[in-house]
Amino acid sequence: MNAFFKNRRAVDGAVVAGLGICLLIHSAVQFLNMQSKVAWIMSPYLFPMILAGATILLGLTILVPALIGEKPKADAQQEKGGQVFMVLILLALSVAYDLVMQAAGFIPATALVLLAMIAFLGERRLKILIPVSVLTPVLLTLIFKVGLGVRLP
Amino acid sequence: MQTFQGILPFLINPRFIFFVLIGAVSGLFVGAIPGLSVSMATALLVSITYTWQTGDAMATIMGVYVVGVFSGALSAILINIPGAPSSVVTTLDGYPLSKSGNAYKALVYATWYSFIGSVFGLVVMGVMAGPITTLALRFHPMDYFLLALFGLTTVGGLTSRNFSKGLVSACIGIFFSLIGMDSVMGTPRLTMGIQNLKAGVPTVPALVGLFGFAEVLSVVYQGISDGKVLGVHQEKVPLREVFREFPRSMLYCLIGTFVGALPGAGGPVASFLAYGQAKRIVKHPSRPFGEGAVEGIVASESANNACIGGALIPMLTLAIPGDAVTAIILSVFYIHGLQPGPTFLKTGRVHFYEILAGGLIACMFLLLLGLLVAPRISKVINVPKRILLPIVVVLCVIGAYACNRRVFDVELMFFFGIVGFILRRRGFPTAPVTLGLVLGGMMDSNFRRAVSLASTTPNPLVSMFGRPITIILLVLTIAAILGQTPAGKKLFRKA
Repeated sequence: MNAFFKNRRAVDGAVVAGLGICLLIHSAVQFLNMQSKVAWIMSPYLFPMILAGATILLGLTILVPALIGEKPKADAQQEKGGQVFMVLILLALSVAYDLVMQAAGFIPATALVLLAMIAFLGERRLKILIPVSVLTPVLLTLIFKVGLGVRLP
Repeated sequence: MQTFQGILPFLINPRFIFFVLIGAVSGLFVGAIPGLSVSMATALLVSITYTWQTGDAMATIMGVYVVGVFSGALSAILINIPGAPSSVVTTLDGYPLSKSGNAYKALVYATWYSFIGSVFGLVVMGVMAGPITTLALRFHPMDYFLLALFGLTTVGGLTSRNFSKGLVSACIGIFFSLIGMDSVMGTPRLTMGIQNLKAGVPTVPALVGLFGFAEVLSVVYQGISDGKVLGVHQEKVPLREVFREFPRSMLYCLIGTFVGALPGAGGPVASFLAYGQAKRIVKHPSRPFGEGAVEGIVASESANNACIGGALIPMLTLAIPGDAVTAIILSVFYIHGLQPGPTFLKTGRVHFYEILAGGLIACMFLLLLGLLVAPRISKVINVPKRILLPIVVVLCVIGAYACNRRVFDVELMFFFGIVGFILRRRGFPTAPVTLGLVLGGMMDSNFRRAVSLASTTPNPLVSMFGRPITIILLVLTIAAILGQTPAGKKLFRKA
């Protein structure tokens, strides 16, 4: 089991095939439960079912060669390790941005999130950190809201 | 002549030229800064230009598109990091040439041949759009379905080393396009009970997430590092020397335009193919290929810029985008109430001229900015990513919100950003997701229409697949799929 999870291609294939199966079951159930019995050709769930079939097939074409030990043709990017923790923090800050923005408005929320993100990504000099965080939301408001007439959150 | 008369009013319209300039300057910076992409810029622009007049929006977007594709070469030449995927090949010779103290020469060659490639592609677009439209008018629903399928199979094969993964990405895009109200029956599907999804997945937040936020997450994941910019010392580069490569560049332009017109292929593929050709046909390069041969820069830059016109041909005449950026431009059309396709040259001829004129004006700006501003851009390219990336996140939020003014769209943008990031990490390309997202609805409705029409005839199979165009498209699609199997690859290599 552990060996399976270490085989990235096998996991990818299994996940894709699994998603395809979920879509197929959901579409089939919805198709059968439709109150107005339309011709199967015109059913809104016909195409999702075909798509689910194709996805399962594609998942298997990734999974089976991975299981029978064919050499993987990995994409360059997926080989390298990375900083998952940094990504998770950035995501958390983005979600916080979304929440603060709804409560406090665009300019304060943006200033705060820029301050937090820039500091988190490694900028420690206050003479850069503070002006960039404060001036950017003001400038963006001027450019987008005043200049281009774009509504801001 | 008629086309020239059509584009002339735009070529001399100061307002139109101004908007192209705005786009061109944005494209120059966005394309040159690694971590920002033309797709990202176009996706953001779609939301910003939402309330603009269609002409202004088209002008700006063409400026970004044309100059953005070129400016990917700047960072490829100056810091050995391609600003855009289509400039990867330019790094092979551009950076070694710069390192030997000839950065300016590399920039001049890249600028001139990007200009020539862009003009070539746009002229071909102007000439070929009419005949292709005539052909497209004979298309039946099944033909549209097969053409989109062919595009998705091509993009699946060309954007990833693993064909299946490319197709899985396309399927993911199609899945998202099916969410919402079914266009044929008018019933909601796959909405998972979320009220906001009843109107479907909005394209702009999805694209901004896939190309903007996902890019930020990917850069952070790989670790933030800023490249060292090489200095540019202006030297004399005789035009006669530059234009010595002109005849050969026509071949690269042809390759670029053809590859661009294939749905789903694009700059990276075109520049690789042209570079391969250059290595084959140039017997005595100025330096060995890979060590600073200007012939390599010429091949890569003329081909990837010629793709622009090529990619616009299927988008305008068949509503099938040629690459990720044209998929985004297609969504601009829909947002502005325009319907590209076989009837577009009749119903939206003015907008066709707008695009052509915008592209040609952008070519002029490409030449000016490339020769005058690009050599001085090195400091801007090196804006620290720790400052740039948070600002991009804010721009993504603005872009996602601007179209429908819904916080839900911002959340959707974050969701698509995470999806795009995970896909990249697992080696699934994101360009097919865009194509699937844009084409999925059209494929669904045309497929059902074709099957429904055929079911009323005595011989449904002949009715669906019995026409010459359909047979050709079917054979092409099957060939595109079989060509990716081990046996198919062997056969193609032998041929």
